[in-house]
Amino acid sequence: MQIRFYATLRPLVGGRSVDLSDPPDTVSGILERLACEYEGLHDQLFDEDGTVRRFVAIMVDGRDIRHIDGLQSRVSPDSELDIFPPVAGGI
Amino acid sequence: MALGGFANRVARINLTDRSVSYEGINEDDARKYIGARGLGVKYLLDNGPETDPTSPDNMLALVNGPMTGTEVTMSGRLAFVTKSPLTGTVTDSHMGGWSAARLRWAGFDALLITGKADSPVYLEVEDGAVEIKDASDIWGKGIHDTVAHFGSDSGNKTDVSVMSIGQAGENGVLFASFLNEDDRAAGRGGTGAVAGMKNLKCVVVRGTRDGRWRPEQGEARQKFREAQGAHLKLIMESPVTAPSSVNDDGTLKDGSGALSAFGTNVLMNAVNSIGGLGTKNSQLTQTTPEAADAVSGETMRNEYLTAEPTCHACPVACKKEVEITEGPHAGLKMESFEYEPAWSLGANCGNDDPAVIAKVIDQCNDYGMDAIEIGNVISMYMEASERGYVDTPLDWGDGAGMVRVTEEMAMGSSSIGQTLGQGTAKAAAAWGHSEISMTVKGQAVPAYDPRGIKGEGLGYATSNRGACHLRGYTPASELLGIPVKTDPLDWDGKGPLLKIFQDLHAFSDSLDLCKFSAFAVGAPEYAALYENVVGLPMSEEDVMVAGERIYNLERHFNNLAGFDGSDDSLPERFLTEPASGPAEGHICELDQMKEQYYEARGWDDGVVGEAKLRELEIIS
Ligand code: SF4
Repeated sequence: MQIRFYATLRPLVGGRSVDLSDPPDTVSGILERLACEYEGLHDQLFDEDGTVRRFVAIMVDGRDIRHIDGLQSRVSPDSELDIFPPVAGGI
Repeated sequence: MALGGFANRVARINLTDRSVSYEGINEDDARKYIGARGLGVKYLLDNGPETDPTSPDNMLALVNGPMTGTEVTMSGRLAFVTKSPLTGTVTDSHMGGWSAARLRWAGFDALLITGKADSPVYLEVEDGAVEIKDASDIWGKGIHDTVAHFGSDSGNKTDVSVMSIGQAGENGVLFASFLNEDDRAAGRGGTGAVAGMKNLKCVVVRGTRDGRWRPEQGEARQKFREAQGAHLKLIMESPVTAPSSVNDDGTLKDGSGALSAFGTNVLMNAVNSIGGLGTKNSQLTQTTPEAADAVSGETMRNEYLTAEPTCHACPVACKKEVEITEGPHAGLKMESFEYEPAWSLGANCGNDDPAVIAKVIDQCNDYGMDAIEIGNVISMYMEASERGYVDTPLDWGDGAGMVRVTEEMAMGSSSIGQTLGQGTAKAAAAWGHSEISMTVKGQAVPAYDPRGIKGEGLGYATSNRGACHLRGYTPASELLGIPVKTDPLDWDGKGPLLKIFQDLHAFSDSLDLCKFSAFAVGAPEYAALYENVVGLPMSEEDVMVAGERIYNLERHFNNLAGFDGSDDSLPERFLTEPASGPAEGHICELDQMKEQYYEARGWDDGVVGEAKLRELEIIS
């Protein structure tokens, strides 16, 4: 499974995307695996109490997990994941 | 005058008889309409909403807010307010940079320009006086040359700022814009076209920081510092706006806000990922991840960045200067590779070459044209070509053709250039195919597809200046979660939500603070700043009421100019052709959202009734 990262998260994973073999079937499981492999990523994505930081956007097939089942959102091997730090702009 | 912040000096300039007179600010209007956008619309209303926007009687008002040029963070903005020749509505377009502050330091709250000079002129503003001067030796020049002519620069190294039109405004392009220094545009609505019709080339302002407003010593200054300190702290600590800095190896330091690090174009990948990025004239709502990333803020920072300029009193520095090093545009250095034109000239034109985007934006900044409209008019032309509606076709992604046709529009040097220079809506209508015009009230849509981000669809439809994302920026909620996260694919509730955004932005545009402040602060901070600059009580609720009053004032102007609910529409494509990508199958449910919106506004089919006008003290 390919997971794409953006903006300030890219340096933490060393590139635009990460390939995960044998991926877990929830967002939570995937993030746990990624946090073990990439130092600093956990702190960028989670608050001290373990909730996803405000304004961090995690998309499964283009849908923000805040509109699916949060960290328990299901993921299949051919799903596409995009992970954004707080991004805004727009003029 | 009892109100703080204001210079209490306004110049009325009649170019027909070349007269200048001076007056103070009307205190009652300043209390009700705050400044900049709100006060500017009031000047336009008093000038007559039925005025033909192409006639000498139309007014071009350059209006500061009470905070402009002060120490308040992000206070370097100026509103250009006029009746738009593109839309027929009232319009206001704001520029950042340094000109706004300098105009205030030169002693003015506003310049109100009417009439038409019998030969090209410019205005010179210094020390509380305005002179009308001969512009025959700069007429015909681009903006970059005009700025250089007066010895200005694109920063704060001199004491002179130049706000100018380019050849597009001189040649009657209806979406011509004003720019200050080299790259900061009041882009939308054709303010530059109005200046061109008046034979007005530019406004040259001389002023130094010594002219800025400061509170009295003692308690007043202490309280001002507290309010400004709280405002600044939130901006410095927001994960969006926190200033960025780099380590020795060039990598970004922890805590760098994404807007500061990557500029507005950090949105490119995010909007594309949810299927909200209009592609090929909005026939699709998503491009490939590779095409989006090729022109994104991340790529521009990593591969093209040369400098990170800012505006007056802003630590965020979201402006990104880039240099193209290869290909036909090698050597081009430019600023304002922003999200909007990166979309309009990128995915929307089937183009993923950042050098072409940089080149056409720079053309817009030199000829003086709205870079959102230009991307739309070109993409509409490309779709017309694909469908066989035109004799001289332009293919999707033809970068050389995009550069060529941009020049032809600005210079009016070809038949196709003259047609396209009238804007997307008029050009499509001239070919008998208005259905491929992605416009509202004659102005082209910005970079959020209303099928993938539905609140913006309502925002485009009900904007008082034609399609616009800045009137009510619901993507803050639909993408980011400010103030709360709402689902971009759900229409329900977007009416009341949009009203809150529209009213809040109407207030901040009238202060006039950069809109990006709203990613970090809100009504409580705006109220505290207002109280401690202007010196009048202002609560959080008062902020929202004043914003509502300003929004209704604009709508009232438009109603008197002949607009009603039937003009609050969207192109048929967004209502009937389903989206692609993650928003697949979705259309924009405009009618349902409009019903909720009008109810929240208390309007009858898009018209502000007398009772509402009285309630908001617009009429007595
Ligand atoms: S955030 Fe960007 S546009 Fe706004 S004032 Fe700062 S530098 Fe200018």
